[in-house]
Amino acid sequence: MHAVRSPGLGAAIGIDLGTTNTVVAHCAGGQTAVLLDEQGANLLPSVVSFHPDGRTLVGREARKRRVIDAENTIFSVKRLIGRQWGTPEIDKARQIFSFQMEEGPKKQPVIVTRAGKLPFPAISALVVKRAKEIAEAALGVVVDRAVVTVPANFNDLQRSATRRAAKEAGLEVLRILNEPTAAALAYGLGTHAAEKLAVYDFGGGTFDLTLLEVSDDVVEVIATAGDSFLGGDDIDLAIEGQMVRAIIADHHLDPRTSVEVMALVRAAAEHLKIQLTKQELAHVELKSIGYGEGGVAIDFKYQLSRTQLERLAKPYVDRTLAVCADALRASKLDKSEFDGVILVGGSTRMPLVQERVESWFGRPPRIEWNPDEVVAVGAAVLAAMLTEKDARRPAPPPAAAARAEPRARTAAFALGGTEPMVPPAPKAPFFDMPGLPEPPPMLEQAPNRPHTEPPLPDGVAPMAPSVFPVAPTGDGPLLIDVTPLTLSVEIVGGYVDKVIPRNTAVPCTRTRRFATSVDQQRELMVRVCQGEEDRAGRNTSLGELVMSDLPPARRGDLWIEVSFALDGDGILHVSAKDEGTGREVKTQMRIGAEGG
Amino acid sequence: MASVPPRRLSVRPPTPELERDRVVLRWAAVIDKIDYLSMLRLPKTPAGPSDADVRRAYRTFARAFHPDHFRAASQEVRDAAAKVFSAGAEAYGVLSEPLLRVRYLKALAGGQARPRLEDLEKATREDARAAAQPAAALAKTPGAKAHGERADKMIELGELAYAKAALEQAVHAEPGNAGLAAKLAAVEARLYAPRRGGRR
Ligand SMILES: Nc1ncnc2c1ncn2[C@@H]1O[C@H](COP(=O)(O)OP(=O)(O)OP(=O)(O)O)[C@@H](O)[C@H]1O
Ligand SMILES: [Mg+2]
Repeated sequence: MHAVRSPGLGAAIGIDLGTTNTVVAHCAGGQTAVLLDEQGANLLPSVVSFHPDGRTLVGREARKRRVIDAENTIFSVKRLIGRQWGTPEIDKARQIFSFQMEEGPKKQPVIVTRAGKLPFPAISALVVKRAKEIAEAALGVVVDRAVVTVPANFNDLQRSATRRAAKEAGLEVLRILNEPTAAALAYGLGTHAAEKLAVYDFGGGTFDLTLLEVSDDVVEVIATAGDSFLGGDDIDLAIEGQMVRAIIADHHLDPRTSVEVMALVRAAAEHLKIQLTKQELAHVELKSIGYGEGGVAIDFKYQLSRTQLERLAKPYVDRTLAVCADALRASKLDKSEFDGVILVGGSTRMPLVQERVESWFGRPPRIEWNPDEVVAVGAAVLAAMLTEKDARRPAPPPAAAARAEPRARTAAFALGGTEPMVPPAPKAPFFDMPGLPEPPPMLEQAPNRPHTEPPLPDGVAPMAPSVFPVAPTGDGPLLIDVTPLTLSVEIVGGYVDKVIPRNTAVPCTRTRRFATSVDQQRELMVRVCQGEEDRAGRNTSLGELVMSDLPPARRGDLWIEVSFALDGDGILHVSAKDEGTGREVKTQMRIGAEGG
Repeated sequence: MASVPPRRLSVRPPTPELERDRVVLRWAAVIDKIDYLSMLRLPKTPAGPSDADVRRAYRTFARAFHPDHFRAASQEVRDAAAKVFSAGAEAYGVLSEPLLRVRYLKALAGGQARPRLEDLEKATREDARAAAQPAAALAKTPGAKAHGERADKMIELGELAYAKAALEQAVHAEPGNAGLAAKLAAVEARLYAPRRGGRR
């Protein structure tokens, strides 16, 4: 079943590293499969738990411990990865999450666990490592390369932190791929002539809408918009709020005083929500959430109807549609111009979501692929395209009816302090804070390099060469991605000058000229930030480049040309050049997890 | 693609990859100097290429130069491909944005193959501002005002071709008036493509 590969290289997989769940898939010879773990599960909960006996649990076993060991069970790391200490996101997370965080070196937050203080990428690396193990067990071969997906609106820091996580798990990252692009890949590109697609991705922690145009095997991203703090978790929180009020009203007991009880309530809230996708009415019973008069254990019963759920969920679904409207405005397209809407993410299984999306776009969305698997499938397709010379177009998705029902989630709310039985797991390595030295990148250097053309003599108008290079066959569809967030330079007064606007195709290069703002200015500081705000302070700071020892000049007389070059992996190369002397300074904005 | 085992001190016949790499390096050597139309291999007609032509040309261009195709190439070739692709994407961006396109084609006709994108964009922002005002208000002299009023009426009626003709006369009457020139550019842009997705 495996394609022939170059000797010495293992298999390449696709990984959807989700906030809630991670999915791993493999594609070979045009056949794509979601890889199941030993128990036959397709979803690997993106949860890591540090057991008192020193073991590191990942996935379902870890998820079970959210209740009994809330402080050492880490989840939703994707919401935090690549964010710095002191940002609103981290502050908010510190209130919501039951595990402890503190400031580590270089403004990097660390999670304080029984196993030590760990930065976010180290936690994600444990999840990726488990995904790799699942793949190796399922395929029976070594896996050493992967395409890893991220939300379209992840910034460069978040991307490089994700890349680092995969590297730490022992994988060469073939590509960091945007999730919506992956979804479009899974649905087979270019099988129809010139299609405009909307990818609606409502997952656990994030929402994204991406508008794509696909034709002749070329996928062009027209626009993307998203909210990285909008997902199924918010609906769970809303249900949880209702349950807390009910517990207080029924039992005069505030569950918020106990981390364990709250984790239990949260799990029950999600369970109710998922039940209500299929049922009109659902209930849960939480045992021993506290003790009443005379030490009698209090059990709490709660029932929720789909109508009640939909009332709670509606504001969040409305917010997703507001994001849709924003993306559509940026694209200057009309809803009616779209040929298809693809649903991605577990939250799109909710009937309310499907109905609202259908009525908003005026067409039924596509759900032939399981919405929580479609991203991993697309990542696997790209991994195959990038590694197999003879990669064929993947088979179209199986017909919806022919698909087996996704395995039901096992609801395990039996509480009582009993530790679940866990199979011994191999001890995971711990991570050094500064990061291990990276191996030199593997470069396939052509033995006889083509020579560079000699420069043209002055005064001769250059001519475009008469031919295009011939693209190798079998490279599969081409993806032209865009940068989801505007990249800017801070200018006088704290405002920004937008150098690379959002929705610009990558890779791209843009230059701007800046003049000095004071007489005899000795130093020019290029502060780079990312985001849509006009004020630098409200955007995400990416770093800075200093050009010092400027020649003496009156203000406005010295011009510096600043270039931004954004590569296909979302790494920004910034350079500044003194137009007078030709002197140039450069840097790369790959700070974040790597710290410079 | 059969891989040839490396042999020291011997000249190998050029492989398709090597030939391709040579072409990419040749493009990279001149890409900063050549105009957007040549880059996408579009013909230089007086009216400029149609929106559909621009898109088709860009896709063909991207198929040839997108850095994804050069993952296995040397760093030098990869950088060259990225450089050429960036320029082509810039060309596509300019040629498919109505106001920018008009400005660019004017500059090109005036002998500027590659005006600074920054300057084009700035001019376009002014165009957009001016275009929001009636032509009659932009004109200073009575002659130009009369043409301007006619242009405004034609715009109101949706007769953009007539509006364009009237504005050309207004610009002719007041050659230095940047506002009128911008108004003309905006009308030309609307004539060319009502909005980005409006093809087919
Ligand atoms: N049947 C269902 N009905 C309603 N919600 C569901 C259902 N199944 C899963 N979910 C919700 O889907 C979310 C998880 O979706 P998914 O696995 O796609 O997220 P993710 O990819 O991990 O997150 P993100 O895309 O934000 O990174 C959770 O909030 C979960 O409660
Ligand atoms: Mg997801």
